[in-house]
Amino acid sequence: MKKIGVLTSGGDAPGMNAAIRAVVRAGIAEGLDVAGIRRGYIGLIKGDLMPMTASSVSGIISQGGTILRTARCEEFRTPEGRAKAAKVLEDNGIEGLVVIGGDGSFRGAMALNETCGCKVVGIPGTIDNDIPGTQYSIGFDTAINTALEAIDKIRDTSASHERVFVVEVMGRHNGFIALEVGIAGGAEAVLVPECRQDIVSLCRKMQAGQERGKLSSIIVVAEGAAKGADVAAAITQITGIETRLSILGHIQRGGTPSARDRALATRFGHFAVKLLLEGQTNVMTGIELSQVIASPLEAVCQGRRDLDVALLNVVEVMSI
Amino acid sequence: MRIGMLTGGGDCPGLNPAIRGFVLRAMDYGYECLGFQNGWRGLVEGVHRPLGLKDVEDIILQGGTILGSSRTNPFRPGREEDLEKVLHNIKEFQLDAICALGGEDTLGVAHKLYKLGIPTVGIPKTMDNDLDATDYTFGFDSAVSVATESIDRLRDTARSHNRVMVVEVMGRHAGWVALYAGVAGGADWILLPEVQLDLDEMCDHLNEVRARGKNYSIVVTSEGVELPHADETDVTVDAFGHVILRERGVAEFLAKEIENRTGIETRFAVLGHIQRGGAPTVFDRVLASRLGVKAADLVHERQFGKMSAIRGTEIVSVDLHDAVSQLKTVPDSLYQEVKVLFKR
Repeated sequence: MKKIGVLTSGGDAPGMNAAIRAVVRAGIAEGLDVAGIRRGYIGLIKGDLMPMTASSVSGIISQGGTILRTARCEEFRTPEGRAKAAKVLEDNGIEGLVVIGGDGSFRGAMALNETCGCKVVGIPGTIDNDIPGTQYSIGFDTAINTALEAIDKIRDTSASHERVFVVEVMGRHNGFIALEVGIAGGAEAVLVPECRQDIVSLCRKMQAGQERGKLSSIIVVAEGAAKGADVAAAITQITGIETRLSILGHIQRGGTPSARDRALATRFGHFAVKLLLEGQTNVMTGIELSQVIASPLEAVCQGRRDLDVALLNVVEVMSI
Repeated sequence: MRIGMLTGGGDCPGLNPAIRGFVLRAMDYGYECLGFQNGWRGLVEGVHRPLGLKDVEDIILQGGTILGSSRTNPFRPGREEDLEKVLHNIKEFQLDAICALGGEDTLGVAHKLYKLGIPTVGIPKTMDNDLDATDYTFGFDSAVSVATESIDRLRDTARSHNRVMVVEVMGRHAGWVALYAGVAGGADWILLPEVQLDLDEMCDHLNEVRARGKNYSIVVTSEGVELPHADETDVTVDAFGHVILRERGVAEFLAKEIENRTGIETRFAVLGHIQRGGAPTVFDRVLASRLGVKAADLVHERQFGKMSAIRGTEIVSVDLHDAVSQLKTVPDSLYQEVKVLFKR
């Protein structure tokens, strides 16, 4: 193998740049040429490539987002689109590809491998942390720290006004962010899509808390569990307590990656190059018990990472 | 002398340092301070506690207010009994003076009480920075810092996805937060309540920014920007008659319009209450401490009906009347100055 490519695809996540840097530098250290592919699979189809040098990635370890940019690409879902991409790879002599993204991006990588035999390795990058085959994905740690910081700020206002605050965090299909942030932020309750929770008993608990003189109550809601606005309205209606809503939204995606995300991304990038050089393909880097591991992309795309709903009990116990 | 203190209106970083400054200075004069809980409501209900050195010495770094806050207005029509209770409690607790920390509304009540013969002083607070008669209010610098940090984060996603990002910040009548956060966050367009919204002009600009090769744009808007055809009849108001703004959805409206008009993928973020909390910045801690000290001096000098303020780098006293009679809005000249930074 003489030349590899790297691209980012799907939603951006803090730490993607650190992973790009690691792929580029590990590749160069192994004597490989490395091409950066802009805007995910769109760039691959259009041949929008840039040669990467060791210095082209200097300073990016601390930057959020992705210097290669990302996009969704409908054309790549078609055999014609993938044939174009395969031609670009062939014309440029790219024999291995590192894809940083989520499960949709990995499906694309597998399809590409099937089309042209290019070896593909995935690196899990998503703030949602819902990818099987790894305990942590790049971006999750930064996202929860950003959300936690926001909750700390909201708590000041909540305590000053003796209000209930409903904080809606990201998580359309799962409650990984909500649960982690809820525990770390001392939330009264956490609503996740995995579990039906009874709003009336939640309201009773909050009323009891207020009667005991509790100043601030924070409810963390994953966007996929319920609309924050509906939860806030229901609480006001049932308890009569003044309730405010805060939707954290896109601020959770950006920002300087945390130390953990940078280190994780760097290890993933380094390991991904090693896997390509070993001749492996259709695998994803992951981390289990602080060891980097490789899992088949097939299993990653078909599997599901389940939330440890037993942890909701920790929230319950801590908010007495 | 015994002084009642209270904090009213929306909380903001700096209230605690100001309370601390006041209490520390009052100690020099041998005055006793009582903290009333939850703004004017505390004076209506008589809920209070003594404020001594131990209560305030560790609070300089804390956001929010240790006294709690509310939007209770004892001069609200139809609530005459609230005012009677306030006047009664002032006698009952033998208060020789009242120090109110707040914005336009809270200081407005303080001013009306002063007109009724109650010795009051004020300390100006508002993260909106829209109080006249003072160059800056504490809370503003902290809020703008949080907003700027958020814009920095949103920039990452906007750039990665080639998007326009619309960021809604606080600012009901005045666009100071949007103006400062927009400049500090390197925005491509800033919308303020003071400036008539021109969607065509903005969208043309965003198209040209894209055409010259910048793949993303940031638009910063005040929550109070007036929208075309907005139906403002069906809205909820608070005790001071202010519209609850969060339901207007300014950022959402703008994001849809931008996407429709330019075809560029657009997302929005409403920063909301995170701007109100968190540890105060250095600037706000120093400003609030100095204003608190000055307000205690005003009580000592029996300069009632006044509030402490900052003019240039000097802490001065001004009439409460001057502070509440008109809002300080962003002058057009300043907006034009800032527009130089929107490059096509």
